[in-house]
Amino acid sequence: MTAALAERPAPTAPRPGDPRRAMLALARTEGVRLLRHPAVIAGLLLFTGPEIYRWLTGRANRFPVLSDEDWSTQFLALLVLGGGALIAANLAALRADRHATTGLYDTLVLPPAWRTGAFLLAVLPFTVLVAVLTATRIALLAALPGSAGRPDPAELALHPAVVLLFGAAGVLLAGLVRTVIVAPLLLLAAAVAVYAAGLSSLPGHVRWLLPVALEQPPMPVPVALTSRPSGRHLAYVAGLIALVALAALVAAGARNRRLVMAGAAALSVTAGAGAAQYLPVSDAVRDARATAAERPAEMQDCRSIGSVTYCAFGGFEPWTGGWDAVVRGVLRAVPAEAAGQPFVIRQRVSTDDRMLDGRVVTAEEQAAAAAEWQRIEPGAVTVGTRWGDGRSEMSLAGLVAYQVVTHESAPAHIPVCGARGVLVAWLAGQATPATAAGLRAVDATSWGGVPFGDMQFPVGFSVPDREMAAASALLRRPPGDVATTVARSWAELTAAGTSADRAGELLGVPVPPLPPVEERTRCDG
Amino acid sequence: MTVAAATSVVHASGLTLRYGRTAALTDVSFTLYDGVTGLLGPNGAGKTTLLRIVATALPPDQGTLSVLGNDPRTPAGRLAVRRRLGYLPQDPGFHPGFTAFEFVDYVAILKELTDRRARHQEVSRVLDAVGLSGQRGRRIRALSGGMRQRVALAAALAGDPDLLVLDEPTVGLDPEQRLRFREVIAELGEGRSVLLSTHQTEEVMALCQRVVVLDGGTVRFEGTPADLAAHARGRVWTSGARVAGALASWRAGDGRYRNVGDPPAGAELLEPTVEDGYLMLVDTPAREETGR
Repeated sequence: MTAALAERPAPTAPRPGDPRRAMLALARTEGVRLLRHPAVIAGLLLFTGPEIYRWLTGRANRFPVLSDEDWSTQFLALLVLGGGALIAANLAALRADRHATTGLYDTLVLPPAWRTGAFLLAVLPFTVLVAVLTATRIALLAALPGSAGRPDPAELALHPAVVLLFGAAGVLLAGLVRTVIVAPLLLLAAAVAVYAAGLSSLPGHVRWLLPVALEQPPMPVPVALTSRPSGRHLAYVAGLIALVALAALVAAGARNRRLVMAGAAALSVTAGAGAAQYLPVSDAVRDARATAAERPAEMQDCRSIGSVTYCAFGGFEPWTGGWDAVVRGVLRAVPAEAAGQPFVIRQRVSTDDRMLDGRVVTAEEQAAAAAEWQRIEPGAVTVGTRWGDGRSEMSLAGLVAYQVVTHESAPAHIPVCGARGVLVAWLAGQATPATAAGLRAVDATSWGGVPFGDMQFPVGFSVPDREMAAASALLRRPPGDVATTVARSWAELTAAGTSADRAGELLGVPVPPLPPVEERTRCDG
Repeated sequence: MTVAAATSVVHASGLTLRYGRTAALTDVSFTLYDGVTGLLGPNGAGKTTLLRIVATALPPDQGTLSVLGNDPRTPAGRLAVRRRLGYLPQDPGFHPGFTAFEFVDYVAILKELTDRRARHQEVSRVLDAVGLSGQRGRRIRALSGGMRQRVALAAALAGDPDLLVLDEPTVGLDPEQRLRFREVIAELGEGRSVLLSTHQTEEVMALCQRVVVLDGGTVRFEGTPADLAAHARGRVWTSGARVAGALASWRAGDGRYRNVGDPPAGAELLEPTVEDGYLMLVDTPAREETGR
């Protein structure tokens, strides 16, 4: 057993080196252990698993807006990846206390401050892994033929930055409180604060002081219109990381002049960048927003296919093929004379805060907002900045169908009743498999009627349940047969006064009886 | 090796430490040389406190201390001591999820053994030295108490320290494990200094070239085991019945009673052991001084 002790191997035994190298050696060991920690592995699975599942089951959106995708996963990253880093780093830094090895470690060469430095550095491999994951994800999305816009590197960099911040916070907490319960509580508090700020439950300015700022509105916008202070926020979070890391070193007993200077610099960056987040939106962005709202054509490229012209904001051009498939699907099912009329499909973004905040409530307010919207380009069909989710396809199909049937621009979210309602809903649903799926999904979650159009736009309409029932019955029949019947009765079906019961007779589908008066939808349109 | 010719590794003079109103050590002075030195004493004698001071885990309130030629009260001196020290605490904690190799490697990193390859060789060497080569990949939670103690010893040995401070390393071990430990410690004492805390006199007899007896926070004896045994010379006798006035009296394997204390006239005296000397010291007020 003791042969190795028979001769002291002093000449060849490694001798203590310098603390920097020891810190790096410890950081490497701790970094590997952190990557193998269950909390980190669970975080990685929770971050990547749902996305992989969606891709494997074909449920992923193949029309991602990269300027939206770059930040939309930040909250998840905070919760599961940042949370994993926080808990794993905290447990690692508390390990000596938890396992009562401090009595031994206190007599070893590497001082506590250097050990704390190693725990901080140990978060870096996980941070790099998250950076690689984030970059890979956005690269894969960008490689899709239907991707739109371009990602913001600062938004992407916030993912690993949050991991580093929470990892450093875990180390700091271990230096301040010798219990493992505080780290999960901090994670919970951070998640609730970010979520509450995102829902406007907290004052709006608070959200930029949190590690991640959820965005309102959730509607994607072209890159030129984005006003998130992503670069300044990244600098702010970087300052926070430095402050937390320095605080952890101080808590471990580090005291020197360089630390003070670094702390002052970190505080300056944090305060400066934090305040800079609240600078007003730049003139360029404000002008771009005004242009996008008032004169969208100036920011768009248009492409004509047959009698239909598609106009998209820069970066969204790949979507025109998808729009055309939906429009063709609607026009294919109507008589040639109706299908031949010229259409303009105009991509729009809503910059009206009243719409975004849901403050346009009364019918008069809605009508005024719709009129203002239509004034920009009368007769143009609105398409938004979301695509590929079924609902967007269904809405475009509905707005096109409405215009084909009524020869009018889309109304201000009023119900479309009678034969027109049945016809519009059927035309929208039969256009493509995506519109059919979108209609089913929306119908399943709606009450009183099915809405068409994005609620953040002032234009759109709904089809009441009674008309939807008839349309759904039609959608279960072969579309060619229904189209032939529709063409035969086109004039009567598209007439404003034709009732749903009459449409049922003409198309051969049952229409549910009228509900009691107090439950009926008011069909002013 | 004679004491006179040896170089002192640890020299303490007037060490005093209080925990609040309780005096843990009072005016403790001793000198430690190469080889194995046993630190004997009853529970609460201050052994662990003294070892922690020597191991730089605790500063004394008063007194001077030189360890391996350095003053542990200064940061530089403390660092210099730690670079040449191996310490096995009384209750060495373990990270149960670590393997034996990982734990010793971790401690080796904290000893600033930074070259990965050389460090791993060193970890393999010390695990081999304590007979754990075959268990290096097993998690500590799966090891027996004796094996864990050997892991802790391997951790103390990492880096080939010049001074080993072992605080009751054989507590809780079965006889076989204790013998194995003795074998290791005996070899460790060749060419380096080992300060071994124990309250087992047979361990002192088997391992130590020198012994320090601590009682009530003060040094009661410092010398060789033979000197300690000699402390009871003429005070150990055998009798056919228990002797009420003796410091200790117990029935031995031959059926007769072995007594320690002041023998009656004409008593059949016996050759004293270290245990007898120790008994004489700790059961007697501190009026009798060292046998040095």
